[in-house]
Amino acid sequence: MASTETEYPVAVENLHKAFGGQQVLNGVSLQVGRGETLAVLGRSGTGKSVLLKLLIGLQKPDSGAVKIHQEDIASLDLPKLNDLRKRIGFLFQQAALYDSLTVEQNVAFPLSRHSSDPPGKQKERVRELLKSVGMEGHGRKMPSEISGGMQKRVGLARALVLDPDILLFDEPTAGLDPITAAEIGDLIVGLQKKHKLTAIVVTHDIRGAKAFADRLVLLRDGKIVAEGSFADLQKSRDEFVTQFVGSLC
Amino acid sequence: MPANETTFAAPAPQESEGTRSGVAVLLAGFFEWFGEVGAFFARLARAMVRPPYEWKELLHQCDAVGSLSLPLVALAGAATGVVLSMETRDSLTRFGAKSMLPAVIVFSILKESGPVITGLVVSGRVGAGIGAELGSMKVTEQIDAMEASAVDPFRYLVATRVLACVLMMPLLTLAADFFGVLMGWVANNLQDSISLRQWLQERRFQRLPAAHREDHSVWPHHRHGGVLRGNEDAGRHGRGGTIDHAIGGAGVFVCDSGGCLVGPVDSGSFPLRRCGSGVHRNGISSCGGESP
Repeated sequence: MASTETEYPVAVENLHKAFGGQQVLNGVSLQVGRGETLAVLGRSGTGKSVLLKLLIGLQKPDSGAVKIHQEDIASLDLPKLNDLRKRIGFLFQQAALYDSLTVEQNVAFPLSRHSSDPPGKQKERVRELLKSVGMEGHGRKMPSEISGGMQKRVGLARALVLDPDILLFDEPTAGLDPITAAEIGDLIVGLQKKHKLTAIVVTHDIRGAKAFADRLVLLRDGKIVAEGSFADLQKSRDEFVTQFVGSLC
Repeated sequence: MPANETTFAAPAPQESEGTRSGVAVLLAGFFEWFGEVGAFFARLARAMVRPPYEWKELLHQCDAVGSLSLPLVALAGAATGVVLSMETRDSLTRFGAKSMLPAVIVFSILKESGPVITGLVVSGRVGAGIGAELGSMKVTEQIDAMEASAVDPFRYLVATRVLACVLMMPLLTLAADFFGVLMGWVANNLQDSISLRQWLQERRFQRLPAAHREDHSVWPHHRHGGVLRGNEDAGRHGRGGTIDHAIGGAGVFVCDSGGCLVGPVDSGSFPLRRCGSGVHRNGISSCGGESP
């Protein structure tokens, strides 16, 4: 069964998560195949970002299992969890760049702690990544000196610096103008195809999701109410799905 | 009206139960807090001693805590020295003990004011800064990003800052002490001229404040001392004679098993003379009744 298992680097089984009395995730199950891009859609507050944080172990589920490369992350101790985290890139909603470090230092931060490469080679890697996201020449700037779109690009470079095989995107195009959002979307697609990454993208951007996702899931009240390609969702007769997806038609 | 009776009868036990449960919640909260603090320090100690060490960040924090706090700490220390010098002078003069001013200032700054002022200034400046910085990092998901990058935020953010504070506090205290004593001397010099060397050497009177005990039963086998006010204290000290008599007026004495050191209180240079079984100078023949 090993070959079948490795087809799904990310697997979630019957996940439950509540904050106080509010049930955010209520039995979510999904699998993401190798090299597949899954878009997670849903209204604000339906637990999309929580799902991503559960996937990388930033939060713990109340019940259910999160398996990354067949490892149940709830059963891992911190060193093993950190080993697994090195294989996952995470682009945060507001990029979450360290505001006391320069752009270059931000991208180099994980590398300097986990790579055994000499500093010269690490710098070269950082430069190469900044170039690939269109941020060449901005390495010495502070995060506060660059725009939101540029911060997202730097965040993307930082997410890719450890050469992960899974990428998690939390609202990669939120707060950006349509042109910049399209650029970031193209960048994600390009990098994802280039590195053959497994990607999970939480987004409200239906247009973007249609462009870069192989498959979409729609969350409502902590449950998956629709799953399939964009075309499949368009065919749905569910009123909520129609409302959500129909806005693009 | 049975309904009303029921309504009025119920509150007493409910209140009592409520108070009990309130106390239980408070106690539980206290122990929970105590446990959390303990767990925090245990985790902190582990993060400090176990590799990998964040040397670069530690150095950066030492700079942020130490050198950036130095001007404020120096200013606070200097102000304390000046105020202490100006305010204490009047009180000591009133009691005829002006010569004790250097000792009072130096030791109150070294032992009390310096560390306290440094602690307050650093906790205010650095503590607030660290709180704001970490709070902002939490809100903007920078701490989550660090954790997602497989870097332990506790080790990187907390251990380095706590260690930097622990390392820098003694140095900053030294700075506060230095500027306090220095400016105390400067303030004193505005009224009475005294060299810095002399100012610092007056520290030998450290025994005096603690030795105001009037336990003469142990004299001369144990050290003690005090302030004599003219003839008021005549006959109270020494064996067969008075220190008061020895110095011809108000004075200060410090005694040990070897005899007494005595001197007039208002002398700037405070020339002590040993009487008793020690060296005798200036004809202190009546001191302790042990004339040479």
